[in-house]
Amino acid sequence: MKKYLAYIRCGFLEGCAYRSTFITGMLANFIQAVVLYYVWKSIFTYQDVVNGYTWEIMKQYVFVAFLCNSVFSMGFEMSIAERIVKGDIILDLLKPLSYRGMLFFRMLGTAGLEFAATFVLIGSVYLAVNGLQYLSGMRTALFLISLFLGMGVKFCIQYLFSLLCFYTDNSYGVTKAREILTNFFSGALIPLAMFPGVLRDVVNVLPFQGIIYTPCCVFIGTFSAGESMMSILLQIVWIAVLGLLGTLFGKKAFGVISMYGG
Amino acid sequence: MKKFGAYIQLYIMFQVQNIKSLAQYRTDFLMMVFFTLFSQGCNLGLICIIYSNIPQVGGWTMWEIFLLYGFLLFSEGFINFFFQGAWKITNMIHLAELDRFLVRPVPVGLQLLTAKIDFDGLNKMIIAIAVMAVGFGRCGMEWNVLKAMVFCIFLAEACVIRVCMIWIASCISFWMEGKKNSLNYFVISLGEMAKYPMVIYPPIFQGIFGYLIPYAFVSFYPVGYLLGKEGTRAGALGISFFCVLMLAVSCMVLKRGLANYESSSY
Amino acid sequence: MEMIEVRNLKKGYRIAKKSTGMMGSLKHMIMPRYETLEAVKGISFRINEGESVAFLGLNGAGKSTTIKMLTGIMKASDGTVRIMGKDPFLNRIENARRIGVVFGQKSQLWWDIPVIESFRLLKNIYGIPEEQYTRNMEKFGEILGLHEFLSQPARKLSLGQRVRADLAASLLHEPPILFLDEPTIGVDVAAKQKIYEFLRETNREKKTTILLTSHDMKDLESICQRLIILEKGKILFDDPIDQLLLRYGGGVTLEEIIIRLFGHDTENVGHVSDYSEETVCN
Repeated sequence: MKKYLAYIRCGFLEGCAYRSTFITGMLANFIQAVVLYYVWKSIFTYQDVVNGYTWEIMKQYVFVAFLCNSVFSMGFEMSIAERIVKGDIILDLLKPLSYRGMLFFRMLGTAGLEFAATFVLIGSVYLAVNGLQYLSGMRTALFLISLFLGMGVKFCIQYLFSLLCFYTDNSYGVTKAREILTNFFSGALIPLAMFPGVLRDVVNVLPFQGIIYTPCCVFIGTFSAGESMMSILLQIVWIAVLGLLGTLFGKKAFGVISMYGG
Repeated sequence: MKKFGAYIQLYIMFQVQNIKSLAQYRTDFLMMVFFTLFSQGCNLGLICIIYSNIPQVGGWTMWEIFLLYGFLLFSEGFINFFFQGAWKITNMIHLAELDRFLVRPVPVGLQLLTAKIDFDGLNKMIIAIAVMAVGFGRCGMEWNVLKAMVFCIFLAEACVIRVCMIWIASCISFWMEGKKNSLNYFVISLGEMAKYPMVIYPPIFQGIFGYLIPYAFVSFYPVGYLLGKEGTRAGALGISFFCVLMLAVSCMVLKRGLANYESSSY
Repeated sequence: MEMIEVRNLKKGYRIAKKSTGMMGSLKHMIMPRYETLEAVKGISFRINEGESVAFLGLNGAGKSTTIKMLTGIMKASDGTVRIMGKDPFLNRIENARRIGVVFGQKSQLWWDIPVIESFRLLKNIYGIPEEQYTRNMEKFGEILGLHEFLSQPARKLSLGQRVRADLAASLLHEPPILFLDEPTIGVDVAAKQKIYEFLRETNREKKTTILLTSHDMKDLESICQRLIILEKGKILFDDPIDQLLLRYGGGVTLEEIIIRLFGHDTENVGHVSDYSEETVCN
């Protein structure tokens, strides 16, 4: 365990070193959140309720979604791809610990930094806009659990996508595709409840909702206590399924390395 | 004038070289096309989903929003394809790679703009044209020669304004003494704002995007004017002004920047 | 005729004055303080047509900075530079037509396209007449042995091949002045011989003025007649090489003189070979 703790530290320091990338990424997300805030604001001047959401709920959703999206925003596909091309990946695999474990704890370190930074920013904006009135202890606790599990889901998805880099040299494309896919289907941009008919059904059977939509709804209270528990359970199931897929696919992908010959 | 012709010739020559060097790599071209189609589809899908719940945003219908989107996407693709080099400036300053441009008898600006080509831009321009065609069709625009000309001029000016934005943001690297410059990414991210009509933002943002970082002149004013929206007439007149202003600032920034260039790599 | 005239030339870099540690960084963010580092502290010299001059000095003596000001890459902080009577920074494009530049550390060829394509591109950029182009390509190809790698992209060349190609590229438009910044760094002996021979011939035949910086004494001795030694941004010595040898009496090589001259701090001169190897690996 101690060696994994070292990786958390390592990830944290990496986050510090690449802070300009992190800040740019966060600002881009923030701008998107601000845009959506004003779009909804404008919409709600014409009607009071949109698909079950009131302005009061939407105001919270926009900011909480941004918070969830910012934690864990840095993908690792590009860095893995770079290591594959350079042949450095061999060094990682030679270390006496699980490759995936190492990646996870490194990300946890980075995420800790991101969380702290975003929390200060978005927490104050949230409070300025919404005040304390909607906060509840129980829901906040569930939210934190759900957020953590959401990070797990996101990690599993990123890991699967990063394995694709063993097969293609277009790592930028892979990263972009993953970003767009998660942004669109996780509810980062609009609540999934707004999705029309068929699309809603599709979203329900995909793992992406666990990343942002679930923690958001738990926090805001659009999920009842029972629904919240069910959703959290679903997140755990998805982590197990995606984790297993990662293991299976990983075995195949690492086999490709021999072709690069280090 | 003869000089100008020579520059255009050089521009084409450099771009042909770029295409040749692209061919040296086995890039998954089809994959790139797919990713672009996919991501633009998602972006448009988002707009559709919002509109599936409501009739309009800030007095604009979905098809009108599509036009804003088309203007933005077209100008982005235009930069990618014709002037992608504007993105490379930061890196070139950072690694002191500008030296070799400076010892050639060709304007540095021309060499910088042609430092790279991105075929994805072509893809984006085609998508943007399709989106705009659908948008104009659904909006029931009545075309005449004058309107078509105004449209072409506005689109060209939008492209120029956006190239200049990235150019200026990138050139700030000249003064950053080796620190990483992410301003150009920031400027691109801000484009998100221009996907929706300016009227939905509070006055302070309208001021910033109207004048400081003139995104309003890339999408809102030109499209608003073509659609005959209220309060966009004066803004539309300003497009040409801002276009010239941005060009002038770009030239000045490059000139000042080069005087400050230290040619040390970090 | 006077090709290069430098009067009281100065260049200062503005560098951030930071104290160490977290607090230092924070303090710098709020109230940045700068100091000026004088890289070149007012040097003057003249170079006539057909001369071949070497710049010598330890790392950081201001050699490269001077070359960059002479080529129009950088603006001088103070003083004047005239290349054939004109300021190279203000008349950059005009100046670029009259000079050839080789940086040993950086290639000016297009990285991903075959070398021959780079040459054709340069032909267009400089507007070189067809006849002159073919004549030069033939001559350069022969002396520098370019034929073996003309169809390779620049990124696949070995260092020696790359420098030879760069040298040919810089002389294609027959400039009256040639600047070389550490051209033979990391280049093997055989390639070096070719380069020396080529430079000597160009200097003799075309009366091309050559200005060269190098750490390699062999470079200097075999190409240049005149030596300018820089130390800490000032000219320490400016005379024909023979005179330097004469002053120190017979039987002493240039290398020994230089070591004696810098006395206390000869590390950089002595370790040239280590440095070269490192460059080759890259």
